[in-house]
Amino acid sequence: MGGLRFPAFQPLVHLSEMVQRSYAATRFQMFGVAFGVMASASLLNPGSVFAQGATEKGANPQTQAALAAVRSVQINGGNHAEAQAAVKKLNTLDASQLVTVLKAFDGANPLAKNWLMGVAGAIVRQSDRLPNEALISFLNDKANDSDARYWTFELLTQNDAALRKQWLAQMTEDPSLDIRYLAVAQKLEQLDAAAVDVAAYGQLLEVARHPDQLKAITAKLRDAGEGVDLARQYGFVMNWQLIGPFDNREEKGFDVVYGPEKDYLAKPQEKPAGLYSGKEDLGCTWKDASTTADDGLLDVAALYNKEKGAIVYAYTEFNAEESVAADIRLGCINANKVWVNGKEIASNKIYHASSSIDQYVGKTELKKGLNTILIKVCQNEQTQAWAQDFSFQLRVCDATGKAILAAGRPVVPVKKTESKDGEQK
Amino acid sequence: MSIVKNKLALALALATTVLNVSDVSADWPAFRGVGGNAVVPDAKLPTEFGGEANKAVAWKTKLPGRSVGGPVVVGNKVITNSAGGVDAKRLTVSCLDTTSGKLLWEQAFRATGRTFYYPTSSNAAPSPCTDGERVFTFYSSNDLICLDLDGNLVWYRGLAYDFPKAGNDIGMSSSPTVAGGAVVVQVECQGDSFAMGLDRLTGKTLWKMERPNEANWASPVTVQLPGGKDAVVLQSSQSVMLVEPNSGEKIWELEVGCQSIPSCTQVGSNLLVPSGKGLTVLDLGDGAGTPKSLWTNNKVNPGSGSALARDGVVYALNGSVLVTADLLSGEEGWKLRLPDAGQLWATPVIAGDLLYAFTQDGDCFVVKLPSAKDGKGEVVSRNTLGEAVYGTPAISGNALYVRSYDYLWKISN
Repeated sequence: MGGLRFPAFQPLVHLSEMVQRSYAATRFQMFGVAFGVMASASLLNPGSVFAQGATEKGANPQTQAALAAVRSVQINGGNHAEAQAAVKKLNTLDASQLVTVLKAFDGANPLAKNWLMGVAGAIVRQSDRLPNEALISFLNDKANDSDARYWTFELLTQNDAALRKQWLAQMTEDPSLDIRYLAVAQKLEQLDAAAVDVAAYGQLLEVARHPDQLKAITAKLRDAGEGVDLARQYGFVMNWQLIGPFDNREEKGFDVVYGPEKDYLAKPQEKPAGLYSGKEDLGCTWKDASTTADDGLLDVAALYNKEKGAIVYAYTEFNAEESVAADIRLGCINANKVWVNGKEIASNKIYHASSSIDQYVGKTELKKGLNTILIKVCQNEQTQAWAQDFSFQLRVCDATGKAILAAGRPVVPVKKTESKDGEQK
Repeated sequence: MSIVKNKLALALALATTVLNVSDVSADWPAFRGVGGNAVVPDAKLPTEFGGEANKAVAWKTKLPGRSVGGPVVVGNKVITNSAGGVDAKRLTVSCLDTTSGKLLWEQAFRATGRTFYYPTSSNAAPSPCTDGERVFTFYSSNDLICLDLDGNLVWYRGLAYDFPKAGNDIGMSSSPTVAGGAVVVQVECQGDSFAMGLDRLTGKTLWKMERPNEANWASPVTVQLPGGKDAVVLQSSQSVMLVEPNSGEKIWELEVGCQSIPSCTQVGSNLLVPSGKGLTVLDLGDGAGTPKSLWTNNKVNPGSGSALARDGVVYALNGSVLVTADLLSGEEGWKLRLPDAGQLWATPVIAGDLLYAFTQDGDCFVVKLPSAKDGKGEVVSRNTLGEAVYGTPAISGNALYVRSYDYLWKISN
């Protein structure tokens, strides 16, 4: 889809006015607190305690210490006593401190963020006014923590559909994937209701990140006669070399280091070469395998006569244009391990408990130039009809889900009549 | 309602099981009520409700996400949890006023565990539980949240964040339970698989027990032993056991292979155990020694919902067939097919002599239970809410509280 431009993103400079109109026109209940009809001028009076920037200056050492205690929450209930004591103090803060609490999300671990959400919720519940201008300013600053921004967005819009709609119209490239998803969904709904606009769908395809939305937008483009390389949009790896089967009877092979794995780990920048002795001492050699499925699904069962109690290794080389942090996202209904450049980034001894795009996410650093990926796919011996799939799908993308493509990967536009998904139960 | 009144109401609810005391205003503190036996002998509920006219629907309140769990009732508050937003990561706990259905408070969090689940399920699959002062909500993503009854966070644990291999991408649904000084959860799957007791007040781990590495959607059940002490029943495909809730110490364990969906039920000094493909009833005795097995009957099979018992009769919904048996002998009684019922996931509940069974499509069969030993139940009505119902409803104050996918309903005369 060459030649498309990212839509220009307008800062939310006029939102204060929108919130002002919304609050002036609406009586609603939020988190158990009733907001009456308000004069817009008094709510957003720059001279009031709710003026932009006033909350940060108001954060005193005790508040900062309490926030630090909450941020110190660790796994296994670590620092709970300190956090609980701190929460009791923080819950009594007035609304002028709400943005201070939201800023504390930055760099906090996911556990601590939930504690902070509890504090923020308590402050809102006991407040009869919100610091709207400060909250809007917080939301506007895309450098702020995405979870905190999404929480703020919901706080400000969940009872105001018109405001929500107006804001989402500008947020299709928001760094918060939750907000972006909502914005793309709204835009998609609008496009679906109007005359077909291929260019607009194309633009939306470039900013969408959620797999479901990429698929939905692609379907619309293909309905309009356009060819779309959806697998490329996702970043799925389509070409592999497979070797097997190796023994996994009684599920005993998961941790067995078979020949290809052993040789790969010894020399991770090379494909393990040669002939290996596989299940029942039968010789195994590499064979090429590729998929054309939109979702990159490779059906191993079809290539190995539906072998049960077996392991197949899949190898590929990924030529990265530059050094970059990457997500390796695997969907696999079988037990699996994944290595990148010899380093294990995923290990999941799970059989037939559903499968999905992005089911397992491993983090890695791709080097500029050659990178190697090895997957160990393990099928067991379950006999149920729903336990027969032996397959996988793997994509390479950044942390937002945007595809990272191997150098020189061609575009293969697929039209409606040619498209297919792999079949997965 | 004050804390003192809450505790009194909870105590009355607990007494119902052991002392056969009936209090229609008692709280409904957990999945299937107290001891898992969803029976309120003196409650009076409508036999006809719902439909286009919303007959006997006192209120119906929309919630911010889907749930397939049931609500809990504590005092004048009914609390339910939901999961919505992108990939069901936005976890919400909502508290409504029982009289008006008005939202009293709502608190949102973000999932830190796996949020994949079967398409008809939800990340909000487990039902909450309460100790009368706090509510504990749990999710398929293994986020465990403790709030006070005003919605303020007491503590939060991300059990899948702590144990990253904990999760089942078909979904998890085991509901938490309060016992002694602990809240007990079962997190059982092919990955990190364990049962855990956490301090109710602080969320710190009191004990952790490794469990079989296999999917298990059944819930731990708090039972009251003679002498008033609480204990917790844990079931798996390998055994059923009773543990001391504060220490996790095993009191007894029986090698009875249990089903992975319906849960155990305490009925007085008996325990109904969904075993193999049927039901086993144990005599708990004094609670300290290994219980005696009274009977096992493969034709009394609870299916997806759990078994319950009233007046010496066991009820189990086997698919769409309601089967009965004598509680002490296991002798089979009458059976009744619920016509064109389709699939039923929720455990039936009994109010007075009426049994309420919800289908996954949101239809409720009301069955009048016989008063005589030689009688037979009969379907007296089929009521339509028009929305999927997977969670077991709650009964309190002569009202039925039903959680459908997106709404909480109050059904009462």
